[in-house]
Amino acid sequence: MTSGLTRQALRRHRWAFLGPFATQCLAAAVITAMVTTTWSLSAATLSADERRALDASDISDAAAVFSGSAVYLSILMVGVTMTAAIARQARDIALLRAVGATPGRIRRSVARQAAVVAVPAAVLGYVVGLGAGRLWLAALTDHGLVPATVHYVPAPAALPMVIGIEVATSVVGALIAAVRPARVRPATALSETATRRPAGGWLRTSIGLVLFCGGVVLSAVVSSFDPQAAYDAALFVILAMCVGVGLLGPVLIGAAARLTRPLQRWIGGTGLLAGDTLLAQSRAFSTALIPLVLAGGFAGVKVAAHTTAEHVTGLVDPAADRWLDYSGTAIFAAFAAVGALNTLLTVSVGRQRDLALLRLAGATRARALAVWTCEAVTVLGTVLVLAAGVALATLAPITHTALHTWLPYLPASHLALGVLGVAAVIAAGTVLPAAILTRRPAIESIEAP
Amino acid sequence: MDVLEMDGVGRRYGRDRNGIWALRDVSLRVHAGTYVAVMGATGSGKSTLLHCAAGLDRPTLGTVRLTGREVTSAREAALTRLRRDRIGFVFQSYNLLSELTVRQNVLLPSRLGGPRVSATDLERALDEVGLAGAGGQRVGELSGGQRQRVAVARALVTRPAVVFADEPTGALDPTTGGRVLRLLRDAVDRDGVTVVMVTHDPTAAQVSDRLLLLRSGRLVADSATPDATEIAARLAAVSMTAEVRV
Repeated sequence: MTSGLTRQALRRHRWAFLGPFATQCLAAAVITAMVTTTWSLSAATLSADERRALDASDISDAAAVFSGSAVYLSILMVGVTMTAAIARQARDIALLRAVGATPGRIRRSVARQAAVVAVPAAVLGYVVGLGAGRLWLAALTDHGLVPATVHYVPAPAALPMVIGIEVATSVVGALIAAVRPARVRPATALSETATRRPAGGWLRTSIGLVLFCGGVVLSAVVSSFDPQAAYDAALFVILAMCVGVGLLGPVLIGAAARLTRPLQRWIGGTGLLAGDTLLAQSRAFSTALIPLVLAGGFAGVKVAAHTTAEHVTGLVDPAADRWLDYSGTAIFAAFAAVGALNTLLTVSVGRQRDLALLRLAGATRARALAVWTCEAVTVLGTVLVLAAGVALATLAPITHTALHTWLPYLPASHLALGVLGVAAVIAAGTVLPAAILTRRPAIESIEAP
Repeated sequence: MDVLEMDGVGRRYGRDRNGIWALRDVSLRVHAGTYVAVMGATGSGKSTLLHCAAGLDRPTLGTVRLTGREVTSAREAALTRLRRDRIGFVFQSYNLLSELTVRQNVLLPSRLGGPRVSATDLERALDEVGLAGAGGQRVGELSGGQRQRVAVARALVTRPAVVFADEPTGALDPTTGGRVLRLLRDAVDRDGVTVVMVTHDPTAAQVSDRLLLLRSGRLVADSATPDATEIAARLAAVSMTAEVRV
C-alpha cells in the first residue's frame, strides 16, 4: 500500500517537477529524433552506391552516440533536478520518517514520483522529437550527407521505446538523488533552525584545486606532443578542469564576490547587498556554475576548433563534419541549460522570503530587482571567465601542435551568441522569477507557507 | 514498568571547536501511564531531549531505552519500526500531509506497515477527537485546531505506548489548545498511554503529572507538577539564571 507521499509531493510541489519534466522531455526528443532518423535511413530505397556511401558515413554512429549521451545525461540531470524537488519535500519526508516510513520506502516514493512525471514528459518529447527528426534529416540532406531520395518516416514504435527509456533512466536518477535525503534523521528536518553547511571545506577545496591546476599542467605538457596525442588528451584537460570548477564552485563564487568589492562600493548599497548575498549563498549558486562552465567551455572548444583551423589555413572544413559536431554540441548545451536553469530557479524560489523581507525593510521593487541583477551579472562574469579559461587551456595544445598558434580564433558574432546564451539562461533563472515574484505584495510571500 | 529510560544522555551539534552541547548528562526514568511536561527557556534543550528520547535523533553520549528496547545502537530500520508500532507523535506544525484527507492521514502509520487499524477503530479515533464527520475532508482545508486534533488521532490510533508531543498547542489559541491537551490527558487516564510533552506554556504544563525543567541542556528540576502560577515562577527562575550565566 502506498503511503501518500507520492500524491502529496505531486500535488503540493507541482512546480518543483518542472526540472525533471524538462530533462525527460529533452532526452525523449533527442532519442526520438535520432531513432526515427536512423530508421528512415535504413528504410529508404537506395541504389547500391548510395547505400554504400551512407554506410561509410558517420551519421549512424553519430545518431547512436547522441542517443547514448541523451540516456546518460537524462540519468544525470534527472538526478540533479530531482535533488531540488526532494529538497522541497524535506518536511513531509521528516514527518513520514517520524511516524514510521523507512528510508527505503522514501526512496521508492521518490522513484515513483520521477516515473510518474516521466510518462507525459516522454510523450511530449516524442512529439517534439518527430519535428526535430524531420528537421535534422532535412539538414543532413541539405549538407549532402544523405541522398535526397530518403524520406522521413515518423515511427510510432519509437513512442513506447522512449517512454520505457525515460521511465527507467528517471527511476535510476531519482534513486541516486534520494539516497541522502531518505537517510536524514527526522529530527534534523523537523527542527526550526536550518543549519547551513559551510562553503567549501578544505578537502573539497584542495581536491578541486589539484584537479583544476592538474588540467592546466596537462595542457602545458601535451602542447609538446604530436597533434593526435594533443587532441586525444584534450578530453582529460576539459574534464579535470570542469570537475575542479565544480568542487571549487562555492570558493570561486565567494572569490568573485570579494574581487568585485570595489565595484560594489562604487555602485553603492545595492552592489554591497548583492555582494553579501552572493557570499552567503555561494554554495547554492555554485551548483549552477558547473553546467554553465562545462557547456560554455565545451561549446567554445568545439566551435573554435573549426573556426581557428579555417582562420589559420584559409581552408573551410567540410560542412558535413561541422554540422554533426555542432549538432552534438547543441544537444549537450541544451541539457546543461536545463540543468542550470532548474538550479537557478530553485535558488530563486527558495529565496522568495528574503526578497519579500528586502522589500518590507524598505526596498522598492526596482531596487530589489537591481540587487538581484547585480548578483546575476557577477555570476555571469564568473561563468564567462571560467568557461573561457577552460576552453583556452583545452584548445591551446591542439591549435599549437596542429596549427602552430597558441591563440584560438573565434569570430565576434559566435562569441556574442555564446555570451548571450549564457546571459539568457542566468537572467531567466534569477531576474525573471524575481520580477514575477515581486508583482504580488511582499507580505503575501512572507505569509505563504 | 519504565517505558522510557535515559542514562547520561548528551547531544552535541557541530564537530569542531564551534560545536555546542545542546544536552548534557540527562538521566531519567518515566513510568508507564504518566503525563510528563518538559519545560525550559528557549534553547535550553527541550526539543533535543524529546528528539533523543523518541528515537528521532541519536545522542552523542549515553543510552536511551524506549519500551525496553535500546534505541541508541538500534539500526535505522529497527528504530523506524519501533517508532511506527509503539510511538505516537504530535508536533507544533507540519504534522500532516496537506493534500491527503483526514482519514488517509490518520491511517499513515498503518499504511506504512504499522499495526492494522480496523474501520471501527478509525471511526472511534475520529469520534474521540470530535471529527466524526470530517474523515473525507482534505487536511489543507481544516483550521489549525482541527489539524492538531487530526494529529492527535493519528498519534493515538495505533494504541502506542508513548506519545511524544513537541509544543502541541504552540500555534493554537487557549480554548482550542485546551481541547487538544484534554485529548492527551484522556489517553493517559483511559488507556494508560505515556505522554512526554515539551511546552513553554505553564497552563498547558498544568495538565501533566510530572514536571521536568531544563537549563542549558541540563535537567535541573524533576518533581510532581504544581499549579500554573508555581510552574510560571519556577520556569522564570531557571530562565533568569540561564540568562545571567550566558
